Amino acid sequence: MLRREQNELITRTGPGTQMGDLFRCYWLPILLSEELPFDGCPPVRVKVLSERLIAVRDSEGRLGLIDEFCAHRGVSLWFGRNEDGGLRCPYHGWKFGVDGACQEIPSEPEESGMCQKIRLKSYPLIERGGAFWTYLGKPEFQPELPEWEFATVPAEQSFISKRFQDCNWLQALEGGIDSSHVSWLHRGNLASDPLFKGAGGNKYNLGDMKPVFEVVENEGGLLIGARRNAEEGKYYWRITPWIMPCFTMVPPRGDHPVHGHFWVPVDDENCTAWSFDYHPVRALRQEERQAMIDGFGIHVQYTPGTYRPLANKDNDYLMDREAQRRGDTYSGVAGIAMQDASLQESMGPIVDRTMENLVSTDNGIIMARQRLLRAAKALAEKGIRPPGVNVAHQKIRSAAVVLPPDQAFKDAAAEALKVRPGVRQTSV
Amino acid sequence: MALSQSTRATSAYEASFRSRYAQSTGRWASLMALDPASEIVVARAVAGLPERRRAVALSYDAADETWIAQLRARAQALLDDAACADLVVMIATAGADAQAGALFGEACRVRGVPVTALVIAALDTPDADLSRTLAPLRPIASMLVVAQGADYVDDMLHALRA
Ligand code: FES
Ligand SMILES: [Fe+2]
Repeated sequence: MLRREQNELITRTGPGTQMGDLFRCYWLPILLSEELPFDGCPPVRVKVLSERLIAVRDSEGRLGLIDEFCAHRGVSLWFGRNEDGGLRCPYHGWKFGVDGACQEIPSEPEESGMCQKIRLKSYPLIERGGAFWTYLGKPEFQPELPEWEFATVPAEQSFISKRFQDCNWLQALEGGIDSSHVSWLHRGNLASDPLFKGAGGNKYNLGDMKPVFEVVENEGGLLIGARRNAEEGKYYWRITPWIMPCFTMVPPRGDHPVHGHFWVPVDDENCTAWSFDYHPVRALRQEERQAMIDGFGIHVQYTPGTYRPLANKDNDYLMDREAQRRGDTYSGVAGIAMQDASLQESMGPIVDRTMENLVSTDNGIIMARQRLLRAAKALAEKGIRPPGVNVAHQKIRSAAVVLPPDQAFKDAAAEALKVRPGVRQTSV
Repeated sequence: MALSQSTRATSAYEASFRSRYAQSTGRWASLMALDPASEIVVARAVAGLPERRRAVALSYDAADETWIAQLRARAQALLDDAACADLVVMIATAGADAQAGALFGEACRVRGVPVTALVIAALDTPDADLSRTLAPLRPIASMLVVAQGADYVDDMLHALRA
């Protein structure tokens, strides 16, 4: 349970809000590479942290993210012409560069200097790991470029997708760190999903339905260890890292690619769920990549021409009561990603956390909220840069290990949780 | 499209129709401090939240022979406390010997009361110290939390409505 004012503070990320200022300390993914495919391509509307912007790749290949609306009379520059090193508003011909600077006001004499006085708000845009990233904070605090492992391995080793989710970002993030739902909601998928099945660890998952949790605070966020019984008194551990503010990784299964998410606020009632899959040491197999494209694993099938899932609230997520009765799916919704998204959206755009009844297995969520609130306060009151900005915090992996009973997972798996180039993930 | 059902709470407007009637009663958490430093944490947590009804400090110092005597004197009170609690929260500082927690945790388990163990460790606490405290608690706790600051205790209890 959160107090009403805490729930407000932690869910609102628009300009001028405390949590918004926190998010403005980080590089965030906003577009897939395929959305700005060539120099001079059509501009793309982007809403992120409640700011309406437009992403531009100009005719010279320069990238920028600028205010969506023309400084003249507020026309959306989505209608703009991307030509000769700038984006021209089709209404009266004003032209802007990717840095937001006004390059031309055709109606004004050049000597007037009017043009130099106009500049749209702009943010940096960079491409990395199959996505475009932006940083919406103060230029003097711009951190080093993101170093997440999925974004730094060779392209043939990774796959990344995004989908829109119709609820606040925190609901989605909380699903990512709530290991205890996996034994329920996704139990039907462990044996059937091509990107999950066959792993040695699956039998422990299915054999011990009452995992015990250990939550450990670390530099960048949290490690959440779920412990299940394995053979000879040993424990099977699945370790989920959360790095502030919105990065989570799923523990691996066998030699399947490793996956995880970014949960990026669009506005206070919508977010983008980014889903990545990568293998630290080998190229993805053709059939793996195809399964991801087809919406298996943590990816989804789209409504054609959009990043909206095919199963969505307007069609009741293609609920299949027969599949639910048979146990093929536990909730009747197909696919791991939509099982999560459907339930999180059903909580409402911003769930009322004053109404919830948390139990001790929710400690991962309790601690994540506490850390977010604490970091936002430290930033607002003392200007302290939050955890996760430092690229050292980003060099983390999830892991699945079998350990003797007397070992703390955080120590025993310390190496497994580090990014080690050329070394495969630690998995069972 | 299944639009026959009366509502789907996916807009702020629809969500505003959520029933506001109370759907739970308060929890009763029994707090146990497993070392002197944690006693201070427990005392503060109790003082901060007047509705918290129970708190028992249980310090254990293997070198202190009076501890056994103290334990005998307090064991019954501790167990009575635990037995009527919804949740027992044991608090220890990393490095402390948590054997006493293991003992009482066993008693809690027999009585069907879940135990959450909260270990307070600084980022630079040596791994060996942390493991020493965690090991005896692992078999009896259904949730083990390693937090960097004592303020987590208050936040956790509030979040759990305890
Ligand atoms: S059982 Fe967890 S939300 Fe209903
Ligand atoms: Fe899930």
